[in-house]
Amino acid sequence: MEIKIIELTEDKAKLTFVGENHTYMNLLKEVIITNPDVDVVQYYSEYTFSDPILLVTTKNKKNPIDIIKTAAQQISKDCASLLAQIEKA
Amino acid sequence: MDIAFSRLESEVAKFVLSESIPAFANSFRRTMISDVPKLAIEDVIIYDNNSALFDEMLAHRLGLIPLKTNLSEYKKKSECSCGGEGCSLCESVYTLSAEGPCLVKSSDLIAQNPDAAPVTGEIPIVKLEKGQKVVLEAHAEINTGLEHAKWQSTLACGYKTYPVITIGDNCDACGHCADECARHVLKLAKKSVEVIDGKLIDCSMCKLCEKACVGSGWEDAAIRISSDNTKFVFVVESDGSLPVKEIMTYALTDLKDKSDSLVDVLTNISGAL
Amino acid sequence: MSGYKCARCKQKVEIDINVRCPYCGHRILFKERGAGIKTVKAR
Repeated sequence: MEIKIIELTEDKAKLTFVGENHTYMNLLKEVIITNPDVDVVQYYSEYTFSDPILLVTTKNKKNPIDIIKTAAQQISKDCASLLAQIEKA
Repeated sequence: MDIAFSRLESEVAKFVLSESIPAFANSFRRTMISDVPKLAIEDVIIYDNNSALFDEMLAHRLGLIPLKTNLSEYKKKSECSCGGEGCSLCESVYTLSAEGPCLVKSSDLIAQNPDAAPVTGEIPIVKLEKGQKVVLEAHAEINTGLEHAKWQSTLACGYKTYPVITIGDNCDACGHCADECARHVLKLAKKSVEVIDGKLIDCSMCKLCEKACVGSGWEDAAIRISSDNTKFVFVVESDGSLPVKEIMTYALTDLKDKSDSLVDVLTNISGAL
Repeated sequence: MSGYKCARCKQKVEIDINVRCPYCGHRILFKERGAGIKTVKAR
């Protein structure tokens, strides 16, 4: 996955996800928002087919990058557990 | 997250995804539809065609024929070592020659690689009258449903939230809701209506039962339909090009790989700071 | 240039000035398919 940093401070991150669409962005956003340290999370595309931009701001100066990383790890874990179950079925 | 199959065949799967969130269910569905690759005819070289269909129409019909796909055998053309020119690693070649009067079917499409033949030979392509002739060569390549619907390996692929039927104490067992239910989910028991065992999953949440309940004189309906936002009833149907299990596995692996590479990239970013 | 075919007498016709079959005088001609190979995208 390719990422471009637009803005990165200690409690705010604005990243462009190159080549992604709602399929992954919506899931990522919904997983990030379950984290209690998150203040605001939203993604948007400037134009319909342009690359989506993810905005994350956090409470208590928590590192937003770590929060996105935790969310991605969570998704990866869920997929792995489902894959293991499908393999058995 | 848990997955429980109620049906798993090569072309159809029905399952319940539980302890999940709506966003995950939707991502999973969208990935299965648009990110799972398969073979479909892309380039058609027409040597002769005096049939009733135009060349473009004929090519379009050929493109929509599902082809058996072995994903380990073919690569995406853009990622192939031939550089997009087309070689045996990224292309499957078919020939078709037919002379009327006849009905040209997908079985007339002769594949160079029999493992990549059309899923069924019964798909009509064009009807030829006496003297009409079609001779062509077709090249199939791997791509995803995001590019064009002909590369979409699922037919019916969708989900609904798990229905929850709550029957209140004020139910007087009038049976109006059970009569109204189009899916025959409810039955009349001694004191109140009940959900028939194993039928809950069939409920389409049309709420006709709620309406019938209100109509029978209750101010507040005794039966209430709601949905469980953590459980999802999926139906996935394949067009035969790939087994459903492979479609599901591929979609989940795709989501997992995306997440893993995102973790890698983010680790690099925080390391660089 | 690809040839034409008369719709009535099915003879091969060349068009010079008039759109008219020189054999039977019929004025409806069909354009014949060229001999070239055509490549189309299946979309």
